[in-house]
Amino acid sequence: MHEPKLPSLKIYSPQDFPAYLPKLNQLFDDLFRDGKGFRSKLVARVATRLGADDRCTQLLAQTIEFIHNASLLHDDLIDRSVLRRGKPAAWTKYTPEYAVLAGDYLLARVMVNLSGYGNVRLIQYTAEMISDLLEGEWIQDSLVGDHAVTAAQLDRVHNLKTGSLFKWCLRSPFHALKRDDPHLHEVLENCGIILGLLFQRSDDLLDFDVRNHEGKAVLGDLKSGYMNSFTVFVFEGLSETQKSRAREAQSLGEFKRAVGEAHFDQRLVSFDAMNVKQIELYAHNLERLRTHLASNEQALTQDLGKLSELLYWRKA
Amino acid sequence: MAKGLILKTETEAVRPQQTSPRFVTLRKDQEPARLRAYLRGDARELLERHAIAMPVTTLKAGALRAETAEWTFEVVPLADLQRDPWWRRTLRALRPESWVLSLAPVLTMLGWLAASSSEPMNLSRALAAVIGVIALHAAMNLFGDYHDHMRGWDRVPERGADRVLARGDFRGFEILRVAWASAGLAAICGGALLIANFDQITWKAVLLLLMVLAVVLEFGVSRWGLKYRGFGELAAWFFFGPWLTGGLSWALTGRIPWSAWVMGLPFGSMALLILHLRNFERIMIDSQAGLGTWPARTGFEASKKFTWFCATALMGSLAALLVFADPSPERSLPVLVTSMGLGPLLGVVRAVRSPSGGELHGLAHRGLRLAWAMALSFWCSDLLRLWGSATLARIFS
Repeated sequence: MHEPKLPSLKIYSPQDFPAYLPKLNQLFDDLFRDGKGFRSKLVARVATRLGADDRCTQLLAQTIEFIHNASLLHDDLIDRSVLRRGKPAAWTKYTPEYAVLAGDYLLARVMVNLSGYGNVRLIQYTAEMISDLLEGEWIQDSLVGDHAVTAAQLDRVHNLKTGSLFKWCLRSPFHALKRDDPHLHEVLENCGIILGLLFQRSDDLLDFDVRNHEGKAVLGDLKSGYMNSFTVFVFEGLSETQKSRAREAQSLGEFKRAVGEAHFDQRLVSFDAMNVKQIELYAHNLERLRTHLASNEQALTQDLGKLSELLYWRKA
Repeated sequence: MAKGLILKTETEAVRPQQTSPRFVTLRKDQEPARLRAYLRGDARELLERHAIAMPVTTLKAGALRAETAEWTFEVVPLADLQRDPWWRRTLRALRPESWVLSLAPVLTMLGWLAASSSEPMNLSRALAAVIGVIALHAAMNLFGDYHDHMRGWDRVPERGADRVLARGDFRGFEILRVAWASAGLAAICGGALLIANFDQITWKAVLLLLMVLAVVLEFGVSRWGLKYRGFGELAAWFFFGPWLTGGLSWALTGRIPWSAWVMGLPFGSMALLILHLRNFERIMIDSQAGLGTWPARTGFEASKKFTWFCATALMGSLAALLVFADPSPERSLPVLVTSMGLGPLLGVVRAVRSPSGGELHGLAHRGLRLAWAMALSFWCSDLLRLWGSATLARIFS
């Protein structure tokens, strides 16, 4: 398959922000230096496959990274997370006030850039996405310490937070190219929802050291009082005593003993099976996407086809 | 569980060698007939393959306002579906836990009529009334499930993804058949009562009958969507309360004294409380979908206060029953039991912190348990009264 030639993406440049604001550029330098840029690469690939010009691709890539990183700046402060990507979080290294303002600045910059581009539908859709992100963060914050949270509620939060960004990565290039067919966007929306769910559920498994190649800290969510999707899934069918003991576990071994090792393993198999079905549903939606693409755009579905497995199984 | 999935270790899962639940997406504007056949479950390709098409759940709140014009189904061979035994599935479809809303007023009214009337009760009419009401209630539940399924509402997790059609327990046309059979049974019982009381049919009785037909249509089919625009609560209060008790009084005695209406007030208030709790549970999804239920319209804090209002109305109506309609000492039992059950329920409501809170989950179920407790206390008080009068009769004979 012919690989598209992606333009070189420059997400952040010190010239984008006033040099006279103390520490702002230093904060952004720290923020953008070590990120993987997964979302910007995704949107750039989609845009390039559709034949978008470099200016459009650069705009979309920068937009999604600015929004994503703005949400990280705010999230770290809200969650009181002291580390981000192995380094001190912005609000600890600088101040909480600077972290908030820096996030706001990124979002404002997004609006400036998009309005300069002049595509009203794209601006509207981006504003809706930011609104969904905030709503998701608001709801997620209210779920901390909530031991009765349901799987459906978590899925909604994930769709608002994680799913919104993936949906935007898939849909915004089409909006930027003024391809606003609602049926096309329905399919893209379905794909984005599934990618968001798979990514988040896979991330939730890391908390239990499942396919934890990144070496993420174990039981971090549970210890901070947040019941993630796999925790809720494991807790189904358990007694209140078992759940209570599991919630107080300080190690993975203790958690598994509280819920039962066999029960944990069986639930993991079921959880994976549930998500395999989502991967298949994603493939089905990609097949439908083909009918909306021109013949020279079909390679896009091959690009996107690898994503679901990559995001969930965390390896190609 | 997917076939072919092998778990190697606790930290590794091998990708499936072969799984293929087939997905089919149908658009209303392109294939309306095929879509309808899939929803009903009688599409030729499904019947030939002995398969069932289950709607895939969606996180889009817009599905509740029919904004999506397409459905995605998972087509699963019946042989691959792990289903409960038919009797358990049937019970789940009929939702007997909800029958308390109609059984409680009917059986309590029968007990009251037996105690307060000097004439012996016509047992065949009483049996027709009980069977007819249960059949009507079951029909309403089944029609409701069927029409929600045809509208795509059971694709939304909070609005019925655990219901029998979404789970694949039955196909749409099977539920519709049972719904019509149940409605037919209710019509036969109702018809028999009408014939028995033919010479006592008044304009009030005709009006009551027309009202119940309208309510059943709305609750079951939601033709005008009034159920989700704030009228559902009022209808529930009236239909499960004064209408049932007044109607039963007319069916068995040909008369509707005012005390028969008062007897219905606690049961109507209980139905109002339960419907409110169910809509309160769904406040977030209903608000996102733009539905006009009372909690969605008035907001989170006002909905919590309205729960207190419903509880006050319930206790007030029990007091009114005790003072005005049935001032017997045994009737203090339901007052005691209900007040003891209301306390913890209101405590749970007070503790709910936000519309997304997990504590909201299961509120309506708690309400139903309270309804059963209240119903049982009413029936126990009837038994006490019967036993008491029999004992007194023995003592003084």
